[in-house]
Amino acid sequence: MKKKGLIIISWLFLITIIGLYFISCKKEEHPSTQVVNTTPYMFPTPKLFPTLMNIPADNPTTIEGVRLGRYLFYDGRMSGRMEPDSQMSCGTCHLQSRSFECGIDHPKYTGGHPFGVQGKLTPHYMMPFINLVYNFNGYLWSGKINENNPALGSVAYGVPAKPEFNWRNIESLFWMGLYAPHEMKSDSTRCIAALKSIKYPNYPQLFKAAFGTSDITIVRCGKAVAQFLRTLISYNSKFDRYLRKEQGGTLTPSELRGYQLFISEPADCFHCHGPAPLFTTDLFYNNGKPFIADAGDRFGYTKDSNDIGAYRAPTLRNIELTGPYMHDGRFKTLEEVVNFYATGLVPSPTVSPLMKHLSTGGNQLTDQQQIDLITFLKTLTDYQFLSDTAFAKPLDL
Amino acid sequence: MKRENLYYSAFIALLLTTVFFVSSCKKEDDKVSYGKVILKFEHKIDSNVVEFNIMKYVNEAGNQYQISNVQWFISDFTLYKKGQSPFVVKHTTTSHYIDTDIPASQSWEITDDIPEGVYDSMSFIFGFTPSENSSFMFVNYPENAMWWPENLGGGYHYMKLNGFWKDTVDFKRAFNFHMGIGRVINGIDTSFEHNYFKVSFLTSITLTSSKIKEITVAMNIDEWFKNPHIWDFNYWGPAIMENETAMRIAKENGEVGVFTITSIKDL
Repeated sequence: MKKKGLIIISWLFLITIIGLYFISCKKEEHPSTQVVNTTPYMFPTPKLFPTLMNIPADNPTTIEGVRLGRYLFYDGRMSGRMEPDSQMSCGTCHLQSRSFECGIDHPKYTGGHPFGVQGKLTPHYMMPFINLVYNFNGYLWSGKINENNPALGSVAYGVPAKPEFNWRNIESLFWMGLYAPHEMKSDSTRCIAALKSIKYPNYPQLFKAAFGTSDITIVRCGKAVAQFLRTLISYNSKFDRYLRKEQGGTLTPSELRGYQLFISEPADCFHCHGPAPLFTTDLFYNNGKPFIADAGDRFGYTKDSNDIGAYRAPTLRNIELTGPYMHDGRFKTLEEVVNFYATGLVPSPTVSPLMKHLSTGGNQLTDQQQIDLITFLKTLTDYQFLSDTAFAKPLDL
Repeated sequence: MKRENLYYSAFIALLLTTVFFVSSCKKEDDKVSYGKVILKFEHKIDSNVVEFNIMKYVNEAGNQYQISNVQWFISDFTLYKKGQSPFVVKHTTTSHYIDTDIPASQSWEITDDIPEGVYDSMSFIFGFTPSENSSFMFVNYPENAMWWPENLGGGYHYMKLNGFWKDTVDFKRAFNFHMGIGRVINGIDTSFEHNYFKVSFLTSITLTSSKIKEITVAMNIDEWFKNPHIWDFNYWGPAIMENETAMRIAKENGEVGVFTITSIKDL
């Protein structure tokens, strides 16, 4: 009897200790914002790519959210206009075949300069919508959409100064596109009314799947589109395969010469457009272009006079398809860009110190070197990404 | 008798299991005998904190210059105590990235529990030793932006010190005083020189269990251009990554007076 009691006490003691172990050793977790019954989206994890992703805690990426976001991205009725000739969606300008830029050969936007539904030109040319999820340094040419921007709304873009219209992450790109006079020039009331009236796809059902209830709100629209944009990851160019030593990754002699130039001091491309595999630092540089005053440069956001004429370095992935180049589209071809860096640099008080060939007007690459460099840049084109059906307009839309 | 043995065996097994679970949790009591260290970093010229982007400095060679930013790696922070094995930080990472454009990077909160006591000296590596410097060991920003070309030996920049100087015709020229592995080409042979160096300080550091010790390390930028070699930007030009001779000279200057400890205090 005595022994039986000892065993019972021992068992109780053990259970208590195990319980304490699980309580005391459990790591503190962030409160989950995952909507019940949604499925986490599994991002690809390509070798050598970043492991950190810029995903806000209140908008985890889910298969249901991405599905909804993809419909919204391509649905021109989201602009609040039902007539086919006046509709506009994100996908109207951001073409998958052009790395989600407009491209210089866009059938509607001549020369690659988009304009809004009322014909107003965008203040800048476009940046590609790829690998945005790896960027922690701010979006757009000026980087004004970033975690530290306290602004709400925007007078210039007609976005009301409400808490839901912050400028902190990819979600913000949605309401910028919706409200801006040079884009959809719409508003949340029109957008939501349009989405509610649409018979197919069944948006209330899609919202319910993504967010738990069928309520259609502008914040949810932004979240869903942002989720879709975060999935646009390009990681399978010829050069990626070269870097990963995979089949199909053999570079030609000219491509190799171009790559060696790219990472050399005499050409010096990689300090701003490195490191591989992203081919951008996502930082801001005045790269020695002849100066043209622009309220949308980095200075326009930071008000730091050292940032005058500085813009975010765009990724060079798929660069052959994303002309015209620079924030103002001043260069139509890659040849013009490479030639500018060879001979066209001009001094200015705020030029980046990384532009160290300024005193000679540029890096002075020979014609052959310029050809090699461009040949290398074309190995950064990711044809698999450009034709991936997961990123294309839904067939049933 | 057999039954009794079974009971006692079960009891001992339970006790052992209990000991296992309890010991697998981190003991709060462990903190009693360990201290913490925070390293802070500052960047100075002529004993004053650098004023960036102002052409106000003159080096020993008479070059007027300004600094835009400084980005560099420190690794293998080590504390030494007489008669005992050195304590090398290793808990989460052996290196730390410092960037004058990223304020948070100018402080390295070392997560290791460091045995308390009086230490006689400390050291760190400027850059990386060869065994701790390989390409793509950093895949995330900002460390990945310090990537060093494979054909120059790979790995990462030890430092990017960027700025401008006024050349002989008063033209404002950019300089990239970048350090890392140096490539040496002799005919058809190529070899690589690792230009990291160890920085040591003979100084008493007392760690107690109840306090965090903050050690401030200053990089005296003007010293890169001063001692023992006088650095003339007009001679060395704007870029030195592909110039091992220049990087060796920079290394030798770095070993002398670039780094100092400006304060040691309890927080």
